[in-house]
Amino acid sequence: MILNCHLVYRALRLCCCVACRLVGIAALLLITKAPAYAVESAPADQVARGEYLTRAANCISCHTRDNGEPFAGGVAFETSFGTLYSTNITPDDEHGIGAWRDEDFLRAMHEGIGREGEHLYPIFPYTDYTQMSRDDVLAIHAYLKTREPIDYQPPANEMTFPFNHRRLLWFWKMINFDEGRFETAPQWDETVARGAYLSEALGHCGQCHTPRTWSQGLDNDHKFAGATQRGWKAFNITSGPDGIGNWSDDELTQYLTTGHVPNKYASAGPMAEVVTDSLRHLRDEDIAAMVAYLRQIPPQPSDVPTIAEVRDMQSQRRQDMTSRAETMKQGEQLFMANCASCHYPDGSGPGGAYSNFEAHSVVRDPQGTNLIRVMLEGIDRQGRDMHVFMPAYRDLLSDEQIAALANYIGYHFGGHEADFSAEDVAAQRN
Amino acid sequence: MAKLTLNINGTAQELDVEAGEPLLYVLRNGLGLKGPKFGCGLSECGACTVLADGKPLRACIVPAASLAGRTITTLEGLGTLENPHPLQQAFIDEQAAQCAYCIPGMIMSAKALLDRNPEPSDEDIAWALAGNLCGCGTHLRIVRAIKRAASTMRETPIDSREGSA
Amino acid sequence: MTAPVSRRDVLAGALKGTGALLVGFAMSHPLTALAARITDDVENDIAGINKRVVDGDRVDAWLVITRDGRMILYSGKVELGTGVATALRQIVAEELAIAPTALEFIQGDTELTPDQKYTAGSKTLQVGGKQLRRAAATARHVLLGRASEHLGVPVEGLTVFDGAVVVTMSPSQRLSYAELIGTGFDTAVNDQADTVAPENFRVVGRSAPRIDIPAKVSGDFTYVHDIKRPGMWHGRVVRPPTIGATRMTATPEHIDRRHLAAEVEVVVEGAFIGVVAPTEWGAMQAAQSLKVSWRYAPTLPRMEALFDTLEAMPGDEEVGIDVGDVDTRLAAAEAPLTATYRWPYQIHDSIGPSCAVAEVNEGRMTAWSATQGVYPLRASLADLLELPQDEIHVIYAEGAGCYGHNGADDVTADAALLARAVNRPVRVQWSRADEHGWGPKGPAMVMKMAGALDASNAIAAWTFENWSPTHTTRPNADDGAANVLAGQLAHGLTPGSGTVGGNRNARTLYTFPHQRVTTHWLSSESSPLRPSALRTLGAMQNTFANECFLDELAYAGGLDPVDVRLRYLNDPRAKAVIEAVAKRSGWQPREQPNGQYEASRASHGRGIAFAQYENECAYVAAIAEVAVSGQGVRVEKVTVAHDCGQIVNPDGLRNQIEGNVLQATSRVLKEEVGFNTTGVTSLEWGAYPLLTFAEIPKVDIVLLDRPSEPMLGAGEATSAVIPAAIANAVFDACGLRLRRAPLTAAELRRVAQQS
Ligand code: FES
Ligand code: FES
Repeated sequence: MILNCHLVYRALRLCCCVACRLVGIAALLLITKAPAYAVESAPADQVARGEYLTRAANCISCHTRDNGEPFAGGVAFETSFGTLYSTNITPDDEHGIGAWRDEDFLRAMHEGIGREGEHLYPIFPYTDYTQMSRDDVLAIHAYLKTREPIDYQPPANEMTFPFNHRRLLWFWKMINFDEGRFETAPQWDETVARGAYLSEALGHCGQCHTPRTWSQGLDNDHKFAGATQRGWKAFNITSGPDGIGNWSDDELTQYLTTGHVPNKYASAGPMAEVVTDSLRHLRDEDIAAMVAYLRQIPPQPSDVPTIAEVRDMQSQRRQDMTSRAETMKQGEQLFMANCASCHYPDGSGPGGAYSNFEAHSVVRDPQGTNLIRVMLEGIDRQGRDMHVFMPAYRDLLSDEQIAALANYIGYHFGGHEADFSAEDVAAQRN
Repeated sequence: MAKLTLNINGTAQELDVEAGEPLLYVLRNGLGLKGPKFGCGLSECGACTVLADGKPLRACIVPAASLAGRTITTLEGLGTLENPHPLQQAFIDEQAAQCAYCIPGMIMSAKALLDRNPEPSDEDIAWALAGNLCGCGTHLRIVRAIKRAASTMRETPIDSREGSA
Repeated sequence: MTAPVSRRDVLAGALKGTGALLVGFAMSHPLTALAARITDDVENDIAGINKRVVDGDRVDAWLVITRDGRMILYSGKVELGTGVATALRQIVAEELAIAPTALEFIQGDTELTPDQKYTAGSKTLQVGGKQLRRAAATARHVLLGRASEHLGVPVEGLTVFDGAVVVTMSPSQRLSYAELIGTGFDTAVNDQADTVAPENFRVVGRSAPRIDIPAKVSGDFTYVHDIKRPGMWHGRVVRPPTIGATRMTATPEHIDRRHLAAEVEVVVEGAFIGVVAPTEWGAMQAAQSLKVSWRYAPTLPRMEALFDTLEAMPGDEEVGIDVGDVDTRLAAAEAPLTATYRWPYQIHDSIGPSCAVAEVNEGRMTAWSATQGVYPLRASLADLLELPQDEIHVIYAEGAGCYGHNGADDVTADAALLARAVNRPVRVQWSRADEHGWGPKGPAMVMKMAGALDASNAIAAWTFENWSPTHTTRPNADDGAANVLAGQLAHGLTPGSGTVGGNRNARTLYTFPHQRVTTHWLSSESSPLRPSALRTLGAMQNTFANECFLDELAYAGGLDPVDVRLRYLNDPRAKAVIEAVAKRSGWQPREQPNGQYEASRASHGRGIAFAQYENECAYVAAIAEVAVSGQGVRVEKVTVAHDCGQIVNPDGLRNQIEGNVLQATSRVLKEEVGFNTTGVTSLEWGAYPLLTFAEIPKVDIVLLDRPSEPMLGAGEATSAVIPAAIANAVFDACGLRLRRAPLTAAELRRVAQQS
């Protein structure tokens, strides 16, 4: 723990509370200043701001199940300790938060404590939301209260012993949770601070991109170094070459708002959800602020080879693949039949959303997590510019077939020689 | 609209193509070909399959303009009613069709398979046709037809037969 | 004397008018097959089609022989990919002693063919074949009578052979049909006319290769999708954001045309919004670029609440059978069993989304459609367009397999509205999302069972109760425009409610002395998604429940599933299919499940199911063999024994049965329409997957031919039994009862976890 950002924050927080409050207000002002929300009456103003903040905090992704009503909850989160279901946050009196007072909502967002005084499971990212200003939390609450109440009861959590005892969370919180509002750091200018507020307090990027400690807290020593969540790998987004170091600002902006950079990067899974549900709705200056913030996250190494490394590996590849000739043959066949029309036989893609394979960390990652995952789940993403769709092959291809494809793609475009089996796919499928 | 020259079934064709227009609509509407079918427009069902340089390609999604210089083969390029390709003949012999809407795509995928693998097993066929859907449930006959075609083609290699494409 | 009609011409459907005088009708236009008609000059064509006699009581309505020897068969029943265009030819060819290939086939045309209602419910041979056979037999008698007069030989001394009447003892003395045709068959169909005796069959009962296949595999065949008309443009419909179940609740508030190409036309009628462009790609782009803001309210129930919603709806109760004293027996039973079976909404698996072409000429509308009923569709179009029926001409053109009421009629109405609005021929091709999202759905159903065994393990009581809307909201004269989507969108109409199909095979053939069968009919308006006919209608759902529950009772009493079925059947044909399938598949009697569920290891099992389709058509029994593990259910083999009376084309029949097995396997294992409160969410094949090549079972078929029995429909009977056979096999394999279709891996694991 030489340089723990988190500790730095904490230390800084003690001495800069005044400044940070100012930044908090500044962020707020910038947000409220937007012409789109220049609504006349004050309460409506709060609601409109709440709507924007709800977008920025991406409440909808986790609180809306497939085919379900927005914010009605019921999304299952498989954790190693059991299954959790997101709650109904529509203003329904019985199943939702209709009966919640502002104070209840604040306590949940800031302290991770539910209306009955129970500790909340930190899959609900109050560890980040705690940094939100009081006014912002109340704006979100005000917005949610304007939604249509949905009388839907999400399933009960299915946690295994002893994790079904919420009281244990007290212990977890003691280690992993610092209650307190956002504070800026001295080296940050206003833009970076605002980016930090958006990325941390609202966007909770770290929940996916930061690895976890043994107790499932965020390992902020390795902030944004990449981690696997919900079966998807969130890649390294630190400022070094293993992260976003080689991306231009334009590329980052484009990626965040459209979900892809033609012929380079494309988002899928939870990141596609974040683009669809949250980022594409944010204003340009807010996206720019987030980019600025990412730029100063200390670099971390990654286990995904860079494009240059892959090219290098491919040029000096020697390993005899005859033992896997059969799978490769099948993989090629499947690739031609299922993938090549969009991605082209050489993986270069016709451009647009169908990107060059080599550029994808998904393809270069020897663990193949997202490669298999994206074949299983497909992509259904709405960015600012266009809707992007890749079919889910979950039920169109068998486990063997998906494994063969992953092997073929990994070998031909990703430069690695991973040997995925049907069982690997089956394990991801479930 | 832009002019584009494509080699289709052995003939160079000059075509009017709209920006981004997928090959399928150029083949069907521009050239009046009925073999390639519209099924999904999403590269999921295989009804639109043609061969581009011998490899199966979903014509519903690939912009025609990106195929300049490639050789495209459609069902019509394999054989004719009078002189069917062994694959087409095998589909007739096995009565491998119900509505037959999926069949052109099946035949094209099978053609690409047999070109690479003249003696495919049932499993090879299942792999090669993984991207082709049939709603009528004709799969068993389709597999039989492909195997039958494989064996005629092994006995009478295609080059020694007259007039086949 | 005989005009050479080569097989190739017939195959290609490319018969050009030869100017031959058609005898039998007051008309002189060249009779053309569809493909010819659509390539001919419009004016001639439209003018040339004078009204024919299409009165099905007259022989001329069915059969025409020209003086130059062409033989043309008119059928209101159409080829849907099931091979009936070949089988119907076989039936007529048999009566006329000609080769089936000698017959031209004109199908589904409101100005040329008799009104045989819909081609549906596996009734083409059973009903349509019978009609044609009688017409052809009458024709034969007419020809024989005329020959007898001309030749001075009594009819008993004459035979028909190869298109001619021949003097039996002196074969060189012959008169061809063309020579005998005179002014045609101006006579009524004689229902009593002798038909060829089964023992003399030469064409019927033999496998005939399907006449349509060669052109379909060469790319020469013209599907409705391939029809082109001079000056034709392409249309697309821009759908509201909510399907609003069967009530259209969306209204367009603002239409922004700014991003459209200049030539694109926009057509708005109520909530029906269409774009028409000179090219297909242009129309697709336009449909995307037209921005419409809608006012709407979500009206659908939550998907997970579907079955509870169905059960809670008020429905009209219909008692199918109520014999014995069910309630007392159930109350007295020591361990009565109850079970609820659930079936989701399913779509038609058409690989080619629906398509149609329509055009208006001097106020008359002509539409090319893959409809299953040209006449009923004409009635709906007439109401939609407010035109008299005889100002509308509907011509059948084949589409992709429809398996029931898919979007074929709807798209025709779309095309008709657009063609009229822009006053030029318009082709509308539905998108994949249109078909998945907006086509009618096979209804979701709930089936509740209760039953009990007595001390001697006899079935003491049996009750069946189900909830279903009608399974038919097809176009028809009574409901008019309400039964096409365009009518619902443009005029806010609600599809008509009836009571069709939901009770199909609700009652079984089993002779349980105490049984009650009840159907709760839900109005189609209250059905969350628009219901209509999908292969077997309710027979698949009901047989799934009946045959699985009988299995439950059997295992509860330690009875062999095959035995228990035989015990309660009287009909020898029913018993025969069960015995045949058991024998063929090597069934081993069992009293308890063969295996246990293990997530990591496959266990194997077999299950049987039986039904007589609609309790009066084909008898089918099937045995499924499955492997079950945490990865899900894999169907390894299905053996079917099938008795549909007289078999016309055995290979065609096998083709149908194989197709039914595979499609039903797909439906029971994989298919389910997803929806949210605004509409369907499974809008493509990734979200609504079909069985793939990697998953197909082996299929073994025993045909029980009964040449002297009436023909019974075979188009869909097999589908009814497959789901139950598979679910029963799953129980045998692992001891788990899956009562909620589809039997996905997730459902299996859910049930495993609960037990
Ligand atoms: S139409 Fe091209 S794959 Fe379906
Ligand atoms: S034969 Fe009809 S879809 Fe395959």
